[in-house]
Amino acid sequence: MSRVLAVDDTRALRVMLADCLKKGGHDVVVAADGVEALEKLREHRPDIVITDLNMPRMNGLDFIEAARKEEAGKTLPMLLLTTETAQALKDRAKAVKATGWLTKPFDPNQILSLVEQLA
Amino acid sequence: MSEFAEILDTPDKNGAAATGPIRQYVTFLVDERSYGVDINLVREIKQWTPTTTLPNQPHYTRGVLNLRGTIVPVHDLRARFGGMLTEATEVHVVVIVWIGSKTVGILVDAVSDIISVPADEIRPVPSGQSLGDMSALNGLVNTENGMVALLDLNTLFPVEEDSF
Amino acid sequence: MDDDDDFDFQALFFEECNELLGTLQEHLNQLADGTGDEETVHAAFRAVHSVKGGAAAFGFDQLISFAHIFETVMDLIRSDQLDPTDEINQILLRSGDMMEVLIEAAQTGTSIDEERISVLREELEDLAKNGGASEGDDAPSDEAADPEAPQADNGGLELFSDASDDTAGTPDAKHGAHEATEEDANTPVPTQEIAVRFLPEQEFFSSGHDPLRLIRSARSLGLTSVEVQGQVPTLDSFDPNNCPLGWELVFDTDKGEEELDAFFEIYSHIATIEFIGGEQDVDEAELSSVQDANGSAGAGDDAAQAAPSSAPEDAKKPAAAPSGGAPSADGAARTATAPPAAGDQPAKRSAGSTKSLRVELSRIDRLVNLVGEMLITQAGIAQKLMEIQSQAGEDGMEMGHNVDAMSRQLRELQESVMAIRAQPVKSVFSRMPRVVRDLADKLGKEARLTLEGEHTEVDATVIEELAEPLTHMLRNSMDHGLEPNSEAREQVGKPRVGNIKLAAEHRGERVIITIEDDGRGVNRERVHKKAIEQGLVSAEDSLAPEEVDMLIFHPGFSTAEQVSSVSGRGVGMDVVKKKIVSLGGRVALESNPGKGTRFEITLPLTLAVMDGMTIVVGDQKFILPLSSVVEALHIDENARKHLPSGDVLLERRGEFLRLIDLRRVLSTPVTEHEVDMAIVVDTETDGLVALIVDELIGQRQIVLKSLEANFRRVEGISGATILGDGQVALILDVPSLLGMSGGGSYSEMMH
Repeated sequence: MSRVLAVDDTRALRVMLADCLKKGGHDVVVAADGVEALEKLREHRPDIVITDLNMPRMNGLDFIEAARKEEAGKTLPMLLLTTETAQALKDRAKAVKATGWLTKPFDPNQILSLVEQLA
Repeated sequence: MSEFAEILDTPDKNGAAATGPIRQYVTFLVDERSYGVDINLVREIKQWTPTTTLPNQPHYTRGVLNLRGTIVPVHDLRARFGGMLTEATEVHVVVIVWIGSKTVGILVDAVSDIISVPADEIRPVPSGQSLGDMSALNGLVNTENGMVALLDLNTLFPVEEDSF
Repeated sequence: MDDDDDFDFQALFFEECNELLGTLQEHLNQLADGTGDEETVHAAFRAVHSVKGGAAAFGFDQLISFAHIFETVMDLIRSDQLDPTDEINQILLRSGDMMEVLIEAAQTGTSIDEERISVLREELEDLAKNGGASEGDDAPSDEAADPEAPQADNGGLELFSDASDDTAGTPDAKHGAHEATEEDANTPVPTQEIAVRFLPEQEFFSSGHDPLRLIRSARSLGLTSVEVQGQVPTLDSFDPNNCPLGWELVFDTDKGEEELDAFFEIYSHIATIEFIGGEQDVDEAELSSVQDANGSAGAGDDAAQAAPSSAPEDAKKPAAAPSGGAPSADGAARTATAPPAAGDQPAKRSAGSTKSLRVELSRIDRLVNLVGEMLITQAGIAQKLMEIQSQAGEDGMEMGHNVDAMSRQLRELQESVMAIRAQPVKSVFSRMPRVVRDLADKLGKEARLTLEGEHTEVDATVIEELAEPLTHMLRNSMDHGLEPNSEAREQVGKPRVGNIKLAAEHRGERVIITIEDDGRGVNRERVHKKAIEQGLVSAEDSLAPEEVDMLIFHPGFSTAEQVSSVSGRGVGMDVVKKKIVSLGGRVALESNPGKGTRFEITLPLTLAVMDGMTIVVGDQKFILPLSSVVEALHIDENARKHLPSGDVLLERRGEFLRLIDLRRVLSTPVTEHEVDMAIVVDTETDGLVALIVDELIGQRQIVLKSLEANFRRVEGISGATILGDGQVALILDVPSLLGMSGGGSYSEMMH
């Protein structure tokens, strides 16, 4: 069992993701944007983060960049889950040291096996 | 979809100690009224973008859009219930749902919430209500924010399965 | 072997079976036609034999026992102990059909009523006896000339110990006895060894990856060893944030490579991942293990086939033999003995097995889709470039050339990718003789089907769609085309046996398929009468004979006689036509009373891409299939002729064309300004028409997307595509647009 921080500004998607993770036996912490996610990161020390890219206040890329500077986020697996496919964004994801890139709509089994694999 | 069903259909262990299995619905607004769709049928939620109009379709069919390379029809829920065509703008939302094996978009005013409802709190639709097309509703739920009408997507937007 | 593995292998077996059946039926047909040669018999024999071998591995008893007796008879024929008379050929053809039935039954896990098989089995048994051979002699006797045979037989060892004993006793079987015992102990192992080289980039650790976690998870996929590659840095230069090492991970797995692919995908941006150790051999081995129920033999043999000259060297280095789970010495022994056999029969297997690589269709589809997306992106770039080119000066010019070059290369890439999917129409054609035979039985008619141009290649997307309409058209020819019985044919001086020809050929960018019978031709009188009764035409309409013939394609048309046990399945020729048109094709009909009927189907070579003309109507862009566009012209006001009916005609070089306002037909918002642009298109069925459009943008290649996948068929629209800007554009289906605009009677549409 891992503790997963799920970040998405759309409540529906956040709940869907959290639900899928909970049913996989994981402990889930949610956040609605990057700013909130950073707070939750410090507070809950998750084993893995799955975050949306486009969010208000602080987007997923900026969040990962900031999280890597935190003690709790230094070597933390952090996955982007997004509908974006542009290579420029993927390059930027790599530059900010995101752990991986997943495309929405997500496949619950894939998410669960990746959490197993990475966290 | 079947994967969703497998994972999500099992009763929510974290759910409240209610009677009967808990169902979850994504709710959205059209003309201040709340409608709900089974969360398992919701693929994603998109901001409105202009669609490509199809000739000779029911007026509520707004056309098709490009969802990452596949063509998806978009229906206007307000118009389907007999209202005016939605003057869609960037603040409007298209809920992408599964209907049978097909992916379909439904244009609504806004997505509002996700509600968890014990199955036995879903009330049948009384006849003579003024909610529009009654056969297109699966049931009614009372929430603290008012009544939510649960949509029967197959009846609202029937899809044809492929055949030669 | 657990159930899952068993299942996967079975699926593969059935896939293989379908191909073998096609080969079998094709060769049996050739035998029956007298067009076959010695190789034909051998090939048919091998197909039966291979099916038997596979069936034995899975214990499909009915299939095994039938294939066994069938094979016995085929063996007698190929060893000239039995002369294939017409009668025998008929039995063989029916046996081929029975194999298909039995394979279907095995696939669905059902069994066939023994009675259905017994008659045919007895006939085969009689043949086996009359051929002067006892059951025990049936074992294939010229294994040396047929490198495939011994392995296949070994697959059936458990169930056919008598046969294998004979194999061993046959002098020609060079390594029979020795191998039989050795390989018998080697029951197929459903795992394969896959080695993966994993070279993480420097940022591997700092991006949140952990090699220990990776290795831990990989264990569940059958990881057996990990070898570190690269230099371990000295302690003082060691930076825990950088990752100077790589690993070679070896899996012994029952999972496909695809599953490993999925596992490694998440690392793809941050590590170089290489599958090493010859995927091709692995794939081939997997298949052979199904076909031959012995992975090692298949792989070893294929290696020998692939490079006969190097085989002896391979034999000296057993370790170089492809891994297949069997002792390498065995593989080496095989490779050493194989070359002479291959040398004896140079042409025999080389074409099929040495130069081909089996790839799952889904992988190719992914490639096709990607190239499609690239074309869309490229179109976007080209469009943008056009917009900025005027102010971009010389740089813009240069960039324009580059984009042009890229577009050419992309097209070439696309053609190459499409070529991978091209398949001979044979895979569909070879199923048709059975259709005809079945119908002949049902209808009490005698008929033979001749196939031509089976090697004509068409995209897999088209092949899939062809079977249904072809079957319906053959039904139609059998039921309505041919005379009611052989006597009726004799009375008009025709041979008793009706002849139907199914042919395919390339013509430009399209494929032409013809179905031709030597029957009665369309009964125009009856068709006309029926059409009047059904209100499709009025009695006053004077129709040309060809127009009467075309009525059979009209929706709602059916003659009473059409509702028979054969054609009367609620499917008329209108459905066939609709299907063909929906594939972007057309159907033509030529009937010669008393002499026969000929249908000609024209289809695009692929359904994945097409050339289109982009036009603007109202506020939307649409695509016209370029193949139908004749010309674009400006409408001269004087050329417009208004008819009392409200229709408008356009005079074009002394000829009057229907002028159709697409804005009205498509009910798009009508723009204020007067439009004077029209595009002349050929509708195939209704001649040329002129379409009024607001703007003509230009031609481009488009990737077809289905509207039906998530919606339904829309009248007037054949599909959609995605433009460079991401917007959806609809592809116009001109013939069906005409129906929408006119809405008139059939006779009106004829002109």
